[in-house]
Amino acid sequence: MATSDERTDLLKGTLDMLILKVAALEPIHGYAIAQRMQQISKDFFQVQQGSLYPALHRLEERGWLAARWNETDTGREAKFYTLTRKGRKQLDTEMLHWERLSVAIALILRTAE
Amino acid sequence: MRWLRRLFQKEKSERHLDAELRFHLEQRTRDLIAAGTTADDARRRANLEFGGLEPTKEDCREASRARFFEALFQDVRYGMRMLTKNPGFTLAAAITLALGIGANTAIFSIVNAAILRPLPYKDSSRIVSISVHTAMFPTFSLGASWPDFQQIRSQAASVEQTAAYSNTEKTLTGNESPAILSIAAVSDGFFEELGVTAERGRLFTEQDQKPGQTHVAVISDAVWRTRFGANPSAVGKTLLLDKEPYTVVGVAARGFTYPQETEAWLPVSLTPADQQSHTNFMFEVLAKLRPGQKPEKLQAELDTIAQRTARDFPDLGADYHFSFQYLLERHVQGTRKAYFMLLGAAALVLLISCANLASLLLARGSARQREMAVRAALGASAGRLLRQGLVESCLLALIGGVLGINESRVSQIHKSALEKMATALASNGITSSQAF
Repeated sequence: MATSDERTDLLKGTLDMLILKVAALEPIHGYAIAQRMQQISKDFFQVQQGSLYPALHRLEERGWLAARWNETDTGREAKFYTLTRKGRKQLDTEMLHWERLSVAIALILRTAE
Repeated sequence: MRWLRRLFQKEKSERHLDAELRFHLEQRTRDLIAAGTTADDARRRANLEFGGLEPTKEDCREASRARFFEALFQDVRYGMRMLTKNPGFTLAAAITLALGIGANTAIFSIVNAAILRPLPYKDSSRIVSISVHTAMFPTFSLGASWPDFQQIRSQAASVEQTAAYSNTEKTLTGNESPAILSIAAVSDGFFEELGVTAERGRLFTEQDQKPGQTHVAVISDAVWRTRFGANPSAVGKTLLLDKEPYTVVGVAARGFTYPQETEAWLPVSLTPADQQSHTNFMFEVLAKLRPGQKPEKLQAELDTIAQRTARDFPDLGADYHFSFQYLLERHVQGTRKAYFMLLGAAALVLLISCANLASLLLARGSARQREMAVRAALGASAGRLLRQGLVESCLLALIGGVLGINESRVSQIHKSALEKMATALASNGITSSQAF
């Protein structure tokens, strides 16, 4: 597990992209989104609930996520989010931006030495 | 319109929000227990990690609410900037609107006072005025004869109060310069039916209606003020009307001038011959329907009375019958059209100003095509651009509306002129509707 020093606050705007990405696989509820992000990033990202849920609501409001109440495997009612078509487009754009950005940053870091 | 729906579904969305966050907490607790934490510890840790349910909830509410208002404020700010950037355009547009709105407001306030508001008499919405028709005078509606009035009073069960009056003029002579007074000769129950009280002295009693005791008068407040200098001792003085003495017994309540700018009321005084005459069509009959009574019932009763009278007095001519009209309708008869024409003209003025404004906006719109193109290129959706336009127009309308209402206030300074016009319209209406 990464120590707290190593853990990074997400860059502003990247949380939205990550949520969209995670929700792109299957309908998923908020708790599972947080778990999934933490697992995939090998505990590097600690998603704060205080920013996760507002982000989910914001994305739903923008029409990028659609929400529906469903039963979980354990038989509890939970709010599941799915990516909409509009959300898919948004995710594609953001990923493209991100790639360009990271390529550019990497370039600078490498050549400025 | 999602935000609108949400306003009405606030409670439901609150419940959902709470359930969603609680689900998270429970799930976390369960996972921690599964990982070997004790139940109490797990709950505490889950809560700690979550960091406050209420602040998070507030942030969620904010997140789903913010966008609409955020964008709206942005539009409003931007719109204001655009309007101040083109003060000439803004001024022209606002004044165009203000003139249209101001004219409409002013005219509407007159129409409202004259037509739409009920008459200031007691239960005036139930009072009808009855007229007589006969084939002898096919195009006229006549007043009722005294026997007709008595029949209606005694036999129409659907009305609770009746009164009759006729208008005349008499010359006032005596202490001051002579003047012609507008007079109404009224039956008993006249003031009671209209719910009028005496400002000073008294109104008529049954005693005053008896033959030989009818030389009494009630004067209007206006006459009391102009002719008697508002002197309380006016009650008891004698008026010489057409050289006959009448004792002033009272002053009617301020503002009461029914039937029409009437200055004095006298009791009906009829010769015995007039009292019997079926062809002396001189009385306007006012009847007050009982509460909730259907007007059809009254018409049926009037038909019965008219048929009987026509049978007893064949000289009344064929097709002798009564009709009635609600007082308000009668009051605005003739003038109604003029008022609505005025209102229509004002509406047209507004329409023209709107058309002017539309072409102004259109002209500006084509000048702003570049700006729109840039915004669209930067990613503004068509809806967003449209909303921007709407917000700007609303701002203009708001400015125009405020100016317009102020303008109509200013035009209240010319209220006396407007009132003069209103009375001119009214007197025209009345002379044309009572031309017989």
